[in-house]
Amino acid sequence: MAMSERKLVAWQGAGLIDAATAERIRAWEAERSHPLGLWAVVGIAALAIGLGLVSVVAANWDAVPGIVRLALHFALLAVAAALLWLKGPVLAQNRPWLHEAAQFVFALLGLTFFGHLGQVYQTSSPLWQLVLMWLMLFGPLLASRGLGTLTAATLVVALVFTAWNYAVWLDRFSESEGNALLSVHMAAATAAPVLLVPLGTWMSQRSDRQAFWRRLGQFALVYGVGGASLLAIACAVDEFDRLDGGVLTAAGLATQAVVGLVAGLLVALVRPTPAGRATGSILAGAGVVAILAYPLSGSSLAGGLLFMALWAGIAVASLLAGWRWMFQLAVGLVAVRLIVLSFELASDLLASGAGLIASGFLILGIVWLALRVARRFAPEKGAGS
Amino acid sequence: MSRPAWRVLALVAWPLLGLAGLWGWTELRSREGTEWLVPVSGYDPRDLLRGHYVQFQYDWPGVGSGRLESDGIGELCLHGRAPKIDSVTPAPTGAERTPECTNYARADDLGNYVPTGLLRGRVYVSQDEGRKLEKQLADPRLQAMVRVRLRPDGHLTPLALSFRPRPAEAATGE
Repeated sequence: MAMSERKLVAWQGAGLIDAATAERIRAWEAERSHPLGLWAVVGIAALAIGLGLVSVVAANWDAVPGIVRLALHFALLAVAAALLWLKGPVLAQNRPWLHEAAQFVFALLGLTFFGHLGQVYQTSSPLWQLVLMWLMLFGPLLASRGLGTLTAATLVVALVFTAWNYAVWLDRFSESEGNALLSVHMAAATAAPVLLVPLGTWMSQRSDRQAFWRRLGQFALVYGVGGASLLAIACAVDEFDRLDGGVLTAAGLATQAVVGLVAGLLVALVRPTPAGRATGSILAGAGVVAILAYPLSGSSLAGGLLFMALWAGIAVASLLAGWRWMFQLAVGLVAVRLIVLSFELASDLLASGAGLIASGFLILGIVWLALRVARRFAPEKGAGS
Repeated sequence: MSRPAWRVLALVAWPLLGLAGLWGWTELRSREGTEWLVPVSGYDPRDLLRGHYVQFQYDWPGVGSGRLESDGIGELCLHGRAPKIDSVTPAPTGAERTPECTNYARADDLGNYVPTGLLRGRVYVSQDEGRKLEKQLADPRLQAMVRVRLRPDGHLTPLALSFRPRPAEAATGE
Protein backbone atom coordinates (compact mmCIF):
# COMPACT_ATOMS: atom_id res chain seq x y z
CA MET A 1 0.00 0.00 0.00
CA ALA A 2 2.70 2.44 1.11
CA MET A 3 4.66 1.94 -2.07
CA SER A 4 1.74 2.39 -4.45
CA GLU A 5 0.70 5.52 -2.48
CA ARG A 6 4.20 6.96 -2.94
CA LYS A 7 4.08 6.14 -6.64
CA LEU A 8 0.65 7.68 -7.00
CA VAL A 9 1.85 10.93 -5.43
CA ALA A 10 4.93 10.91 -7.68
CA TRP A 11 2.88 10.24 -10.84
CA GLN A 12 0.36 12.91 -9.91
CA GLY A 13 3.23 15.34 -9.27
CA ALA A 14 4.77 14.55 -12.65
CA GLY A 15 1.44 15.23 -14.32
CA LEU A 16 1.05 11.65 -15.57
CA ILE A 17 -2.32 11.18 -13.89
CA ASP A 18 -4.81 13.63 -12.52
CA ALA A 19 -6.28 13.73 -9.02
CA ALA A 20 -9.48 11.97 -10.03
CA THR A 21 -7.59 9.05 -11.60
CA ALA A 22 -5.38 8.78 -8.50
CA GLU A 23 -8.48 8.66 -6.32
CA ARG A 24 -10.06 5.97 -8.50
CA ILE A 25 -6.86 3.90 -8.31
CA ARG A 26 -6.85 4.29 -4.51
CA ALA A 27 -10.44 3.12 -4.26
CA TRP A 28 -9.77 0.15 -6.55
CA GLU A 29 -6.69 -0.87 -4.58
CA ALA A 30 -8.49 -0.54 -1.24
CA GLU A 31 -11.32 -2.73 -2.46
CA ARG A 32 -8.97 -5.38 -3.77
CA SER A 33 -6.40 -5.41 -1.01
CA HIS A 34 -6.04 -8.62 0.97
CA PRO A 35 -5.65 -8.22 4.71
CA LEU A 36 -2.37 -10.11 4.33
CA GLY A 37 -1.12 -9.25 7.81
CA LEU A 38 -4.27 -10.62 9.43
CA TRP A 39 -4.18 -13.76 7.36
CA ALA A 40 -0.52 -14.28 8.24
CA VAL A 41 -1.29 -14.06 11.98
CA VAL A 42 -4.23 -16.46 11.63
CA GLY A 43 -2.07 -18.80 9.58
CA ILE A 44 0.74 -18.78 12.13
CA ALA A 45 -1.72 -19.49 14.94
CA ALA A 46 -3.27 -22.38 12.99
CA LEU A 47 0.19 -23.74 12.22
CA ALA A 48 1.18 -23.54 15.91
CA ILE A 49 -1.94 -25.43 16.98
CA GLY A 50 -1.39 -28.05 14.28
CA LEU A 51 2.27 -28.55 15.15
CA GLY A 52 1.36 -28.72 18.84
CA LEU A 53 -1.19 -31.46 18.17
CA VAL A 54 1.28 -33.39 16.05
CA SER A 55 4.01 -33.16 18.68
CA VAL A 56 1.66 -34.22 21.50
CA VAL A 57 0.72 -37.30 19.51
CA ALA A 58 4.34 -37.92 18.47
CA ALA A 59 5.61 -37.68 22.07
CA ASN A 60 3.10 -40.32 23.18
CA TRP A 61 3.38 -42.45 20.05
CA ASP A 62 3.89 -45.72 21.93
CA ALA A 63 1.23 -44.93 24.52
CA VAL A 64 -1.47 -44.37 21.90
CA PRO A 65 -2.69 -47.60 20.28
CA GLY A 66 -2.34 -47.77 16.51
CA ILE A 67 -6.09 -47.96 15.95
CA VAL A 68 -6.64 -44.77 17.95
CA ARG A 69 -3.91 -42.94 16.01
CA LEU A 70 -5.41 -44.04 12.71
CA ALA A 71 -8.86 -42.98 13.91
CA LEU A 72 -7.48 -39.53 14.81
CA HIS A 73 -5.85 -39.24 11.41
CA PHE A 74 -9.08 -40.28 9.72
CA ALA A 75 -11.08 -37.79 11.78
CA LEU A 76 -8.75 -35.01 10.60
CA LEU A 77 -9.37 -36.12 7.02
CA ALA A 78 -13.11 -36.13 7.59
CA VAL A 79 -13.00 -32.60 9.05
CA ALA A 80 -10.98 -31.37 6.08
CA ALA A 81 -13.44 -33.04 3.69
CA ALA A 82 -16.41 -31.46 5.44
CA LEU A 83 -14.78 -28.02 5.31
CA LEU A 84 -14.05 -28.45 1.61
CA TRP A 85 -17.62 -29.50 0.97
CA LEU A 86 -19.35 -26.77 2.98
CA LYS A 87 -16.94 -23.85 2.51
CA GLY A 88 -15.16 -24.91 -0.68
CA PRO A 89 -17.44 -23.36 -3.32
CA VAL A 90 -17.51 -19.96 -1.55
CA LEU A 91 -13.79 -20.11 -0.87
CA ALA A 92 -13.01 -20.99 -4.49
CA GLN A 93 -14.85 -17.87 -5.58
CA ASN A 94 -13.45 -15.38 -3.08
CA ARG A 95 -10.04 -16.73 -2.08
CA PRO A 96 -8.90 -19.20 -4.73
CA TRP A 97 -5.40 -19.49 -3.25
CA LEU A 98 -6.82 -20.53 0.13
CA HIS A 99 -8.97 -23.12 -1.64
CA GLU A 100 -5.87 -24.44 -3.40
CA ALA A 101 -4.03 -24.68 -0.07
CA ALA A 102 -6.99 -26.43 1.60
CA GLN A 103 -7.19 -29.03 -1.16
CA PHE A 104 -3.45 -29.57 -1.00
CA VAL A 105 -3.55 -30.14 2.77
CA PHE A 106 -6.47 -32.56 2.39
CA ALA A 107 -4.63 -34.51 -0.31
CA LEU A 108 -1.42 -34.55 1.73
CA LEU A 109 -3.26 -35.86 4.81
CA GLY A 110 -4.55 -38.64 2.57
CA LEU A 111 -1.08 -39.49 1.32
CA THR A 112 0.34 -39.73 4.84
CA PHE A 113 -2.57 -42.00 5.80
CA PHE A 114 -1.09 -44.68 3.54
CA GLY A 115 2.22 -44.49 5.40
CA HIS A 116 0.44 -44.50 8.73
CA LEU A 117 -1.51 -47.65 7.79
CA GLY A 118 1.73 -49.36 6.81
CA GLN A 119 3.33 -48.45 10.10
CA VAL A 120 0.45 -49.66 12.28
CA TYR A 121 -0.09 -52.92 10.40
CA GLN A 122 3.58 -53.48 9.55
CA THR A 123 2.83 -53.81 5.86
CA SER A 124 4.85 -52.53 2.96
CA SER A 125 4.16 -52.13 -0.74
CA PRO A 126 6.03 -50.63 -3.68
CA LEU A 127 5.65 -46.84 -3.54
CA TRP A 128 4.13 -46.59 -7.01
CA GLN A 129 1.17 -48.71 -5.91
CA LEU A 130 0.48 -46.37 -2.99
CA VAL A 131 0.81 -43.18 -5.02
CA LEU A 132 -1.28 -44.66 -7.84
CA MET A 133 -4.02 -45.57 -5.38
CA TRP A 134 -3.76 -42.08 -3.90
CA LEU A 135 -4.09 -40.62 -7.39
CA MET A 136 -7.22 -42.66 -8.00
CA LEU A 137 -8.76 -41.44 -4.73
CA PHE A 138 -7.68 -37.79 -4.73
CA GLY A 139 -7.09 -37.24 -8.45
CA PRO A 140 -10.79 -36.71 -9.29
CA LEU A 141 -11.08 -33.98 -6.63
CA LEU A 142 -7.86 -32.21 -7.64
CA ALA A 143 -8.64 -32.45 -11.36
CA SER A 144 -12.23 -31.24 -11.11
CA ARG A 145 -11.79 -28.65 -8.35
CA GLY A 146 -8.20 -27.51 -8.82
CA LEU A 147 -7.84 -23.83 -9.65
CA GLY A 148 -4.19 -23.21 -10.39
CA THR A 149 -0.52 -23.89 -9.92
CA LEU A 150 -0.50 -25.83 -6.65
CA THR A 151 -3.06 -28.50 -7.55
CA ALA A 152 -1.74 -28.82 -11.10
CA ALA A 153 1.83 -29.25 -9.84
CA THR A 154 0.68 -31.81 -7.25
CA LEU A 155 -1.00 -33.92 -9.93
CA VAL A 156 1.90 -33.77 -12.40
CA VAL A 157 4.53 -34.52 -9.73
CA ALA A 158 2.50 -37.47 -8.40
CA LEU A 159 2.04 -38.88 -11.89
CA VAL A 160 5.70 -38.49 -12.85
CA PHE A 161 6.79 -40.04 -9.56
CA THR A 162 4.45 -43.00 -10.06
CA ALA A 163 5.69 -43.53 -13.61
CA TRP A 164 9.36 -43.56 -12.65
CA ASN A 165 8.94 -45.60 -9.48
CA TYR A 166 6.95 -48.13 -11.53
CA ALA A 167 9.65 -48.25 -14.23
CA VAL A 168 12.43 -48.78 -11.67
CA TRP A 169 10.35 -51.43 -9.94
CA LEU A 170 9.78 -53.22 -13.27
CA ASP A 171 13.49 -53.16 -13.98
CA ARG A 172 14.42 -54.52 -10.55
CA PHE A 173 11.95 -57.39 -10.53
CA SER A 174 12.35 -58.53 -14.10
CA GLU A 175 14.19 -61.80 -14.46
CA SER A 176 15.49 -61.31 -17.98
CA GLU A 177 17.99 -58.60 -18.75
CA GLY A 178 18.16 -56.63 -21.98
CA ASN A 179 14.56 -57.51 -22.80
CA ALA A 180 13.15 -55.24 -25.54
CA LEU A 181 9.58 -55.66 -24.31
CA LEU A 182 10.58 -54.57 -20.83
CA SER A 183 12.30 -51.55 -22.32
CA VAL A 184 9.16 -50.58 -24.25
CA HIS A 185 7.06 -51.05 -21.12
CA MET A 186 9.33 -48.82 -19.03
CA ALA A 187 9.62 -46.18 -21.74
CA ALA A 188 5.85 -46.05 -22.27
CA ALA A 189 5.28 -45.58 -18.53
CA THR A 190 7.84 -42.80 -18.16
CA ALA A 191 6.74 -41.01 -21.33
CA ALA A 192 3.01 -41.20 -20.54
CA PRO A 193 2.85 -38.02 -18.38
CA VAL A 194 3.62 -36.05 -21.58
CA LEU A 195 0.08 -36.87 -22.72
CA LEU A 196 -1.11 -34.39 -20.09
CA VAL A 197 -0.05 -31.64 -22.52
CA PRO A 198 -2.80 -32.40 -25.07
CA LEU A 199 -5.24 -33.08 -22.23
CA GLY A 200 -4.47 -29.74 -20.56
CA THR A 201 -4.66 -27.92 -23.89
CA TRP A 202 -7.98 -29.50 -24.78
CA MET A 203 -9.57 -28.96 -21.37
CA SER A 204 -8.35 -25.37 -21.05
CA GLN A 205 -10.60 -24.48 -23.98
CA ARG A 206 -13.64 -26.14 -22.46
CA SER A 207 -13.33 -25.72 -18.72
CA ASP A 208 -14.08 -22.59 -16.73
CA ARG A 209 -10.90 -23.35 -14.77
CA GLN A 210 -8.60 -22.36 -17.60
CA ALA A 211 -5.65 -21.47 -15.32
CA PHE A 212 -5.55 -24.97 -13.84
CA TRP A 213 -5.60 -26.86 -17.14
CA ARG A 214 -3.07 -24.54 -18.72
CA ARG A 215 -0.70 -25.00 -15.79
CA LEU A 216 -1.17 -28.78 -15.97
CA GLY A 217 -0.22 -28.76 -19.64
CA GLN A 218 2.72 -26.44 -19.03
CA PHE A 219 4.17 -28.60 -16.25
CA ALA A 220 3.83 -31.69 -18.42
CA LEU A 221 5.54 -29.85 -21.28
CA VAL A 222 8.41 -28.91 -18.95
CA TYR A 223 8.68 -32.62 -18.04
CA GLY A 224 8.81 -33.65 -21.70
CA VAL A 225 11.29 -30.99 -22.82
CA GLY A 226 13.40 -31.51 -19.68
CA GLY A 227 13.51 -35.24 -20.37
CA ALA A 228 14.55 -34.72 -24.00
CA SER A 229 17.26 -32.25 -22.90
CA LEU A 230 18.62 -34.75 -20.38
CA LEU A 231 18.62 -37.43 -23.09
CA ALA A 232 20.60 -35.12 -25.38
CA ILE A 233 23.08 -34.39 -22.58
CA ALA A 234 23.41 -38.09 -21.69
CA CYS A 235 23.94 -39.09 -25.31
CA ALA A 236 27.01 -36.84 -25.50
CA VAL A 237 28.47 -38.65 -22.47
CA ASP A 238 28.01 -42.34 -23.14
CA GLU A 239 27.09 -44.85 -25.81
CA PHE A 240 23.62 -46.15 -24.95
CA ASP A 241 24.56 -49.56 -26.39
CA ARG A 242 26.98 -50.13 -23.59
CA LEU A 243 24.50 -49.47 -20.81
CA ASP A 244 22.45 -52.57 -20.10
CA GLY A 245 18.73 -52.32 -20.58
CA GLY A 246 16.54 -49.71 -18.94
CA VAL A 247 14.86 -47.06 -21.06
CA LEU A 248 17.97 -46.19 -23.08
CA THR A 249 17.63 -48.90 -25.73
CA ALA A 250 16.56 -48.53 -29.37
CA ALA A 251 13.13 -49.97 -28.54
CA GLY A 252 12.69 -47.81 -25.45
CA LEU A 253 13.70 -44.57 -27.12
CA ALA A 254 11.55 -45.36 -30.17
CA THR A 255 8.59 -45.79 -27.80
CA GLN A 256 9.27 -42.42 -26.19
CA ALA A 257 9.59 -40.86 -29.63
CA VAL A 258 6.19 -42.23 -30.64
CA VAL A 259 4.59 -40.90 -27.45
CA GLY A 260 6.16 -37.47 -28.03
CA LEU A 261 5.05 -37.34 -31.68
CA VAL A 262 1.50 -38.47 -30.86
CA ALA A 263 1.23 -35.94 -28.01
CA GLY A 264 2.52 -33.17 -30.30
CA LEU A 265 0.08 -34.08 -33.06
CA LEU A 266 -2.83 -34.13 -30.60
CA VAL A 267 -1.94 -30.69 -29.26
CA ALA A 268 -1.76 -29.23 -32.77
CA LEU A 269 -5.13 -30.85 -33.60
CA VAL A 270 -7.04 -29.70 -30.53
CA ARG A 271 -5.63 -26.18 -30.65
CA PRO A 272 -5.06 -25.07 -34.24
CA THR A 273 -3.57 -21.67 -33.34
CA PRO A 274 0.06 -20.49 -33.62
CA ALA A 275 0.57 -21.24 -29.90
CA GLY A 276 -1.00 -24.69 -30.21
CA ARG A 277 1.07 -25.57 -33.26
CA ALA A 278 4.23 -24.30 -31.53
CA THR A 279 3.55 -26.45 -28.45
CA GLY A 280 2.82 -29.43 -30.69
CA SER A 281 6.04 -28.98 -32.65
CA ILE A 282 8.07 -28.68 -29.45
CA LEU A 283 6.67 -31.99 -28.18
CA ALA A 284 7.23 -33.67 -31.54
CA GLY A 285 10.77 -32.26 -31.54
CA ALA A 286 11.36 -33.79 -28.11
CA GLY A 287 10.19 -37.10 -29.56
CA VAL A 288 12.59 -36.81 -32.51
CA VAL A 289 15.44 -36.07 -30.07
CA ALA A 290 14.59 -39.29 -28.19
CA ILE A 291 14.98 -41.47 -31.29
CA LEU A 292 18.04 -39.61 -32.63
CA ALA A 293 19.78 -39.89 -29.25
CA TYR A 294 20.27 -43.61 -29.74
CA PRO A 295 22.38 -43.69 -32.93
CA LEU A 296 24.17 -40.44 -32.00
CA SER A 297 25.07 -41.49 -28.46
CA GLY A 298 28.75 -41.64 -27.57
CA SER A 299 29.80 -38.65 -29.68
CA SER A 300 30.17 -35.38 -27.80
CA LEU A 301 29.87 -33.34 -31.01
CA ALA A 302 26.64 -35.08 -32.11
CA GLY A 303 25.21 -34.90 -28.58
CA GLY A 304 25.95 -31.19 -28.34
CA LEU A 305 24.42 -30.52 -31.76
CA LEU A 306 21.33 -32.55 -30.83
CA PHE A 307 20.81 -30.47 -27.69
CA MET A 308 21.29 -27.23 -29.61
CA ALA A 309 18.97 -28.41 -32.38
CA LEU A 310 16.23 -29.14 -29.84
CA TRP A 311 16.50 -25.70 -28.26
CA ALA A 312 16.96 -23.91 -31.57
CA GLY A 313 13.70 -25.56 -32.61
CA ILE A 314 12.08 -24.33 -29.41
CA ALA A 315 13.39 -20.83 -30.14
CA VAL A 316 11.82 -20.90 -33.63
CA ALA A 317 8.53 -22.22 -32.23
CA SER A 318 8.55 -19.45 -29.59
CA LEU A 319 9.11 -16.87 -32.32
CA LEU A 320 6.09 -18.15 -34.22
CA ALA A 321 3.93 -18.31 -31.09
CA GLY A 322 5.20 -15.00 -29.72
CA TRP A 323 6.62 -16.29 -26.43
CA ARG A 324 9.24 -13.77 -25.36
CA TRP A 325 10.83 -15.33 -22.31
CA MET A 326 10.74 -18.84 -23.80
CA PHE A 327 12.63 -17.55 -26.84
CA GLN A 328 15.23 -15.86 -24.65
CA LEU A 329 15.62 -18.98 -22.49
CA ALA A 330 16.12 -21.12 -25.60
CA VAL A 331 18.75 -18.77 -27.03
CA GLY A 332 20.53 -18.73 -23.66
CA LEU A 333 20.60 -22.51 -23.43
CA VAL A 334 21.94 -22.89 -26.97
CA ALA A 335 24.71 -20.40 -26.10
CA VAL A 336 25.64 -22.25 -22.89
CA ARG A 337 25.74 -25.58 -24.72
CA LEU A 338 27.90 -24.03 -27.43
CA ILE A 339 30.40 -22.86 -24.81
CA VAL A 340 30.45 -26.29 -23.15
CA LEU A 341 30.86 -27.97 -26.53
CA SER A 342 33.83 -25.79 -27.44
CA PHE A 343 35.62 -26.95 -24.31
CA GLU A 344 34.67 -30.57 -24.97
CA LEU A 345 36.08 -30.42 -28.49
CA ALA A 346 39.26 -28.51 -27.63
CA SER A 347 40.06 -29.69 -24.15
CA ASP A 348 43.60 -28.23 -24.38
CA LEU A 349 42.16 -24.68 -24.53
CA LEU A 350 42.67 -24.29 -20.81
CA ALA A 351 46.19 -25.67 -20.79
CA SER A 352 48.04 -22.68 -22.25
CA GLY A 353 47.91 -18.91 -21.82
CA ALA A 354 46.99 -18.33 -25.46
CA GLY A 355 44.28 -20.97 -25.22
CA LEU A 356 42.83 -19.29 -22.12
CA ILE A 357 42.74 -15.93 -23.90
CA ALA A 358 41.13 -17.52 -26.95
CA SER A 359 38.49 -19.27 -24.85
CA GLY A 360 37.74 -16.04 -22.99
CA PHE A 361 37.11 -14.23 -26.28
CA LEU A 362 35.07 -17.16 -27.53
CA ILE A 363 32.78 -17.03 -24.46
CA LEU A 364 32.45 -13.24 -24.76
CA GLY A 365 31.63 -13.58 -28.44
CA ILE A 366 28.98 -16.22 -27.91
CA VAL A 367 27.38 -14.29 -25.02
CA TRP A 368 27.39 -11.07 -27.08
CA LEU A 369 25.81 -12.82 -30.02
CA ALA A 370 23.21 -14.56 -27.85
CA LEU A 371 22.26 -11.29 -26.13
CA ARG A 372 21.90 -9.56 -29.48
CA VAL A 373 19.74 -12.33 -30.90
CA ALA A 374 17.64 -12.53 -27.73
CA ARG A 375 17.02 -8.74 -27.71
CA ARG A 376 16.66 -8.13 -31.39
CA PHE A 377 14.46 -10.98 -32.47
CA ALA A 378 12.50 -11.73 -29.31
CA PRO A 379 8.75 -11.29 -29.70
CA GLU A 380 7.23 -8.28 -27.95
CA LYS A 381 6.07 -8.71 -24.38
CA GLY A 382 2.51 -10.00 -24.25
CA ALA A 383 2.54 -10.81 -27.95
CA GLY A 384 1.92 -14.50 -27.42
CA SER A 385 -0.81 -16.43 -25.71
CA MET B 1 -29.00 -29.35 -2.09
CA SER B 2 -28.02 -28.05 -5.49
CA ARG B 3 -26.32 -30.16 -8.12
CA PRO B 4 -22.84 -28.61 -7.72
CA ALA B 5 -23.04 -29.20 -3.95
CA TRP B 6 -23.76 -32.90 -4.57
CA ARG B 7 -20.82 -33.03 -6.93
CA VAL B 8 -18.42 -31.53 -4.38
CA LEU B 9 -19.73 -33.92 -1.72
CA ALA B 10 -19.11 -36.90 -3.98
CA LEU B 11 -15.61 -35.65 -4.82
CA VAL B 12 -14.52 -35.22 -1.18
CA ALA B 13 -16.33 -38.33 0.07
CA TRP B 14 -14.76 -40.66 -2.52
CA PRO B 15 -11.23 -40.49 -1.04
CA LEU B 16 -12.64 -40.95 2.47
CA LEU B 17 -14.56 -44.05 1.37
CA GLY B 18 -11.48 -45.40 -0.41
CA LEU B 19 -9.20 -44.89 2.57
CA ALA B 20 -11.77 -46.40 4.94
CA GLY B 21 -12.07 -49.40 2.63
CA LEU B 22 -8.31 -49.79 2.47
CA TRP B 23 -8.10 -49.59 6.25
CA GLY B 24 -10.80 -52.26 6.67
CA TRP B 25 -9.16 -54.52 4.10
CA THR B 26 -5.76 -54.13 5.79
CA GLU B 27 -7.35 -54.97 9.16
CA LEU B 28 -8.98 -58.10 7.70
CA ARG B 29 -5.78 -59.23 5.99
CA SER B 30 -3.84 -58.73 9.22
CA ARG B 31 -6.02 -61.34 10.92
CA GLU B 32 -5.39 -64.09 8.35
CA GLY B 33 -2.93 -66.88 8.95
CA THR B 34 -0.99 -68.05 11.98
CA GLU B 35 1.60 -66.42 14.19
CA TRP B 36 5.08 -67.88 14.61
CA LEU B 37 8.11 -66.97 16.65
CA VAL B 38 11.36 -66.82 14.70
CA PRO B 39 14.79 -66.29 16.25
CA VAL B 40 16.55 -63.26 14.79
CA SER B 41 19.77 -61.34 15.20
CA GLY B 42 20.57 -57.70 14.63
CA TYR B 43 21.32 -56.87 11.04
CA ASP B 44 24.03 -54.34 10.18
CA PRO B 45 24.91 -53.31 13.74
CA ARG B 46 26.23 -49.90 12.65
CA ASP B 47 22.86 -48.81 11.42
CA LEU B 48 20.16 -50.82 13.12
CA LEU B 49 17.84 -47.91 13.45
CA ARG B 50 17.04 -46.07 10.30
CA GLY B 51 14.34 -43.57 11.03
CA HIS B 52 11.44 -45.42 12.48
CA TYR B 53 12.19 -49.07 11.97
CA VAL B 54 14.53 -51.77 13.24
CA GLN B 55 16.11 -54.18 10.78
CA PHE B 56 17.00 -57.72 11.71
CA GLN B 57 18.17 -60.96 10.14
CA TYR B 58 16.23 -64.22 10.45
CA ASP B 59 18.04 -67.21 11.99
CA TRP B 60 15.77 -69.92 10.60
CA PRO B 61 16.38 -73.10 12.68
CA GLY B 62 18.04 -75.67 10.42
CA VAL B 63 18.84 -73.36 7.50
CA GLY B 64 21.69 -70.89 7.78
CA SER B 65 21.12 -67.44 6.41
CA GLY B 66 24.36 -67.88 4.45
CA ARG B 67 22.78 -70.74 2.54
CA LEU B 68 19.60 -68.79 1.84
CA GLU B 69 21.69 -66.03 0.35
CA SER B 70 24.16 -68.14 -1.64
CA ASP B 71 21.48 -70.42 -3.08
CA GLY B 72 19.01 -67.60 -3.64
CA ILE B 73 16.31 -69.44 -1.68
CA GLY B 74 13.07 -67.50 -1.40
CA GLU B 75 10.67 -70.22 -0.28
CA LEU B 76 10.65 -72.20 2.99
CA CYS B 77 8.54 -74.79 4.80
CA LEU B 78 8.10 -74.27 8.53
CA HIS B 79 7.70 -77.41 10.60
CA GLY B 80 6.27 -77.44 14.12
CA ARG B 81 3.17 -76.24 15.90
CA ALA B 82 2.47 -72.50 15.80
CA PRO B 83 3.94 -70.44 17.30
CA LYS B 84 6.94 -72.77 17.90
CA ILE B 85 9.16 -73.66 14.94
CA ASP B 86 10.96 -77.00 15.23
CA SER B 87 12.81 -76.86 11.94
CA VAL B 88 12.76 -75.24 8.55
CA THR B 89 13.51 -76.71 5.13
CA PRO B 90 13.89 -75.01 1.76
CA ALA B 91 10.67 -75.48 -0.20
CA PRO B 92 10.72 -76.64 -3.81
CA THR B 93 9.47 -73.88 -6.10
CA GLY B 94 5.71 -73.77 -6.27
CA ALA B 95 5.36 -76.00 -3.20
CA GLU B 96 2.55 -73.80 -1.98
CA ARG B 97 -0.03 -75.72 0.05
CA THR B 98 1.14 -79.25 -0.54
CA PRO B 99 0.64 -81.83 2.21
CA GLU B 100 4.40 -81.85 2.79
CA CYS B 101 4.52 -78.09 3.16
CA THR B 102 1.54 -76.99 5.21
CA ASN B 103 3.27 -73.88 6.48
CA TYR B 104 4.67 -72.38 3.35
CA ALA B 105 6.58 -69.08 3.52
CA ARG B 106 7.73 -67.07 0.54
CA ALA B 107 9.89 -63.99 0.19
CA ASP B 108 7.82 -60.96 -0.82
CA ASP B 109 10.49 -60.15 -3.40
CA LEU B 110 10.52 -63.64 -4.90
CA GLY B 111 11.72 -63.45 -8.49
CA ASN B 112 14.51 -61.12 -7.57
CA TYR B 113 18.02 -62.39 -8.32
CA VAL B 114 18.66 -62.86 -4.59
CA PRO B 115 15.33 -62.68 -2.74
CA THR B 116 15.89 -61.01 0.62
CA GLY B 117 12.37 -61.28 2.03
CA LEU B 118 13.24 -64.36 4.12
CA LEU B 119 16.75 -63.14 4.94
CA ARG B 120 15.94 -59.84 6.54
CA GLY B 121 12.93 -58.05 7.89
CA ARG B 122 11.98 -54.88 9.66
CA VAL B 123 9.47 -53.73 12.21
CA TYR B 124 8.28 -50.15 12.41
CA VAL B 125 8.59 -48.65 15.88
CA SER B 126 8.86 -45.23 17.46
CA GLN B 127 12.29 -43.69 17.84
CA ASP B 128 12.45 -44.27 21.64
CA GLU B 129 11.35 -47.86 21.26
CA GLY B 130 13.88 -48.27 18.46
CA ARG B 131 16.77 -47.18 20.67
CA LYS B 132 15.75 -49.70 23.34
CA LEU B 133 15.41 -52.53 20.83
CA GLU B 134 18.78 -51.66 19.31
CA LYS B 135 20.47 -52.06 22.71
CA GLN B 136 18.71 -55.36 23.38
CA LEU B 137 19.57 -56.73 19.93
CA ALA B 138 23.25 -56.04 20.63
CA ASP B 139 23.12 -57.78 24.05
CA PRO B 140 24.74 -61.25 23.76
CA ARG B 141 22.83 -62.54 26.80
CA LEU B 142 19.52 -62.03 25.04
CA GLN B 143 18.00 -64.05 22.22
CA ALA B 144 15.79 -61.89 20.03
CA MET B 145 12.60 -63.39 18.62
CA VAL B 146 10.31 -61.84 16.08
CA ARG B 147 6.61 -62.60 16.04
CA VAL B 148 5.55 -63.03 12.42
CA ARG B 149 2.18 -63.68 10.85
CA LEU B 150 2.21 -66.24 8.08
CA ARG B 151 -0.70 -65.95 5.66
CA PRO B 152 -1.98 -69.06 3.86
CA ASP B 153 -0.53 -67.69 0.60
CA GLY B 154 2.95 -67.66 2.16
CA HIS B 155 3.21 -63.92 2.80
CA LEU B 156 5.19 -63.15 5.93
CA THR B 157 4.54 -60.04 8.03
CA PRO B 158 6.93 -59.30 10.93
CA LEU B 159 4.87 -57.87 13.81
CA ALA B 160 7.00 -57.28 16.90
CA LEU B 161 10.33 -58.10 18.53
CA SER B 162 10.66 -59.81 21.88
CA PHE B 163 13.63 -61.02 23.89
CA ARG B 164 14.39 -63.99 26.09
CA PRO B 165 17.54 -64.86 28.06
CA ARG B 166 19.91 -67.07 26.11
CA PRO B 167 21.02 -70.42 27.63
CA ALA B 168 24.27 -69.87 29.58
CA GLU B 169 26.60 -71.88 27.29
CA ALA B 170 25.37 -70.14 24.18
CA ALA B 171 26.04 -66.75 25.71
CA THR B 172 29.68 -67.59 26.58
CA GLY B 173 30.20 -69.10 23.17
CA GLU B 174 29.56 -65.76 21.44
